Amino acid sequence: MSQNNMIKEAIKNCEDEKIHLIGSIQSHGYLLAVSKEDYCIRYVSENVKLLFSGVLLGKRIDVIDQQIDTSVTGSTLIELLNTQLRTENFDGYNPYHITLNGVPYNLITHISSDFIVLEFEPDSSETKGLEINSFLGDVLIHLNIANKSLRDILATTTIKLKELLGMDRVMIYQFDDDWSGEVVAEAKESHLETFLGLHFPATDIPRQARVLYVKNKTRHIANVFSEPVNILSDQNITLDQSFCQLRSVSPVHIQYLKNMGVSASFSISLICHGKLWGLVSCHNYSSKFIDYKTRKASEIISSYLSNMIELKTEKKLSSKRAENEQIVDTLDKQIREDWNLRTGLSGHQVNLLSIGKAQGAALCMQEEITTVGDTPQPKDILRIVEAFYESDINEDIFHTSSLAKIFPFAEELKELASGMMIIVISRELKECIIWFKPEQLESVSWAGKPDKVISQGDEGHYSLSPRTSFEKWENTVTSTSQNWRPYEIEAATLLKDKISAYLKLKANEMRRLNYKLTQAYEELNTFSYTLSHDLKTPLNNIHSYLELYVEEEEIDLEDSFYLNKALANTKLMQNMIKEVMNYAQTTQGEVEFKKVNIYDIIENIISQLTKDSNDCFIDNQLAKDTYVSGNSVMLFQIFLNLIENAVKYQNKNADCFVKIYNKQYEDKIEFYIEDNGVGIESQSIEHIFKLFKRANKDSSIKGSGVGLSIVKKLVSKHNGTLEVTSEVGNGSIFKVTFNK
Amino acid sequence: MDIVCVEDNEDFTFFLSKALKNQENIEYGIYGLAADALMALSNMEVSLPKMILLDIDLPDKDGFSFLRELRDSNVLKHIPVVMLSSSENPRDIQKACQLGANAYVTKPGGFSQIKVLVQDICDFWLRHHRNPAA
Repeated sequence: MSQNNMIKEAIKNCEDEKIHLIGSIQSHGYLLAVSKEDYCIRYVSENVKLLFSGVLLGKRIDVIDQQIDTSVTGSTLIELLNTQLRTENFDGYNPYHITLNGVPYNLITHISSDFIVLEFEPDSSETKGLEINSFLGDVLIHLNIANKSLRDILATTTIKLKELLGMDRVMIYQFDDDWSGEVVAEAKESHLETFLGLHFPATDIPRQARVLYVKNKTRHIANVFSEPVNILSDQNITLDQSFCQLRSVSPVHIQYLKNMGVSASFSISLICHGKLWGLVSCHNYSSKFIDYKTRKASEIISSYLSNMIELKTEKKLSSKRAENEQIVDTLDKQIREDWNLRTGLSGHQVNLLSIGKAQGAALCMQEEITTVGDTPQPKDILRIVEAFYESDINEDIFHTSSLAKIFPFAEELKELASGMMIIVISRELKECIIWFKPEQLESVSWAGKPDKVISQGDEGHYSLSPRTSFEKWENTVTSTSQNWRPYEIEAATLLKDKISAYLKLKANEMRRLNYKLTQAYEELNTFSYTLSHDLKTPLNNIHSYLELYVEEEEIDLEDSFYLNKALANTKLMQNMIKEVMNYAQTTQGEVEFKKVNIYDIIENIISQLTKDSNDCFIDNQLAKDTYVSGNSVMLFQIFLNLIENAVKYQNKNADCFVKIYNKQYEDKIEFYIEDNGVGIESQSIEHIFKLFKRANKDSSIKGSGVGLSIVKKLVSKHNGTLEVTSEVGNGSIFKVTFNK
Repeated sequence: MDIVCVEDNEDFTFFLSKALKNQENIEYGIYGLAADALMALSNMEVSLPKMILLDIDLPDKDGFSFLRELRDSNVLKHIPVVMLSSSENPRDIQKACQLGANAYVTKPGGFSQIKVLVQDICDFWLRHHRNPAA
């Protein structure tokens, strides 16, 4: 078994130890448990024979009632239990003062499933009651000074608790996210070495102990050297001792305390927002029993302290929260005013870095990375983004203070990016915002080197032995940043929502604009059609009047330069108008897609073109079953115009030759119309698809400059593309690509 | 009367009448309003025109409605109608055909072409075409 697995098993064994079913108590007290139903004694600690005479197991509680002097409080044990059961209030009567053989005891009762547990503890505080009350009042007043910092409050509490408990050392221990802990306040005897600032590993207080700490807030170990006393029973289930005051201690923990030199301990849970925030941990270097009332008093102080901590952290958090909310609002405003995510988040004084304590931030949108502050190189950011989206992390908001632990390649980026918080904008487009925190070289002082010592028991199980040395041990934490604070995460969450809202708005706006554009386009199309139609009539009339004038005045056009030009220009304009109308008309309307045979179309075009003149060889190299999905009239127009052009711009010095062939791909089909004509000059190529632009200035070749515009328009209506390559004097190749 | 023309554009009317005058022995009437043309036709019951030249854009009603009324009339429905319009819109051409126009011609862009067109129309509809007896 590898070292690692051994540790894992050992930790698991330690965590699996059922400490609430330990079946024994500490020897300074006595335990009885009676059935709730009939008050028959079902459990006894072995040592009760020192208190009571006779056999107890199976007998009714009356058997001890006679031996107890309850004169202090006045009612018998049975009367007490009756009242407690009836009122369902046990704690309110604790402790119950009794005398046994002239010795005062505190009786503490509680319910454990079907049983009432009675615990007898020595009572050493007959007169302490009043003192404790005034002490409590004093402490609470001390703690309630509003402008005290949390640290001061914690320090004051340790001093006051030390005074109350008389223990050698009182510490406040705060848990970190990983359940390791740090001593944040301490009051101690002056000769003792300080533990303040020391860290303890999470395994020091295993999970099930933490669970018990939430349930039962105090825990007292009076003497680590005393032998535990077994609980005897006539039942076949073990008594649940979760709420037991006297519950004995796990041997591992006893060893742990012994290793530290501690003889007695007392701890109280500090619970904030329902979660274990920390512990008040008290050590004594000789055995020490703390009586119930004192324990209760320190519990009150601790619960008051818990409230103070809650309030203080809440207050700190809420002011940070308010501050960040305002920043997010500003960012939101900027985004909306700029109508741009990128500038809104990075182009102003308030930017992504204004939130929290990150040193760098990056916005990854539309395959472009914008950075603010100190970030890794864009290529490294890209790598992180890729790795994040490929990982099994499904959260839309994710943060870590140790990026290299998740993505080992990030180790080399640790100086700038040990900590990372990411919010997903779009998983599909791999868009996100990332914040970076630099590596924080922190030296952590551990209470003893937190190596686990593993020993193999008789049955071959690996178990954890507590370390034997608690001497301060320094350890430098690398590749780790400061933690992400709750308010930072909250702000990021808020920002994410704002961005989503903005993107939705933007998408709607785009849709609206798109619709308007389509409409405007349609209108323009209609408009150009109507306009040219309206222009046509007066122009035709002008032309007719000119002709009439020439005719009736018997003018010889050869002699009349002006009239000749006027007629030529009206003719030119008539043609242009005709072409505009043609363009508007052919490109109007949606394409209804049908399977169209292109071979047939080409054959059709060839027969049409060679009907009038036969001076060009047009070679249809398509297979007979070449299909494209589209509109047959438009497809006809596309190929007609292209082939017509190829024939029209033929090279006078060569035999005209045009060939049509195609290439098939999985997702597209390409058609080539190749000629050996005059070709197109490279500087003209970009203009040839524009309306009324003609590359060829040869006036002997008739053309309007509309044909290729129509082709371009029709091809794009089929979601296709049109490209041309050409060489002057050698011909042109037009390539039309359609999707399949 | 040989030809009734329904045409409102004054210039085109001018060219049309010039072209028609060139034809020998042709009687024609040109009306700028559909209503005037209909009125005239109803007064001609004894000798109906041999054909009608009809524009689409008219000020009082469009040529299509005129054509529909014509085809709905027992007396006038057999008169051949040649649409003469500047519209090249396939929808207009189709509509005219559906409503029973006998031919559709777009207005030429110059007077010489107008002359040729009028010559062709007269040749065909007045000299070669045989109308069913009214």
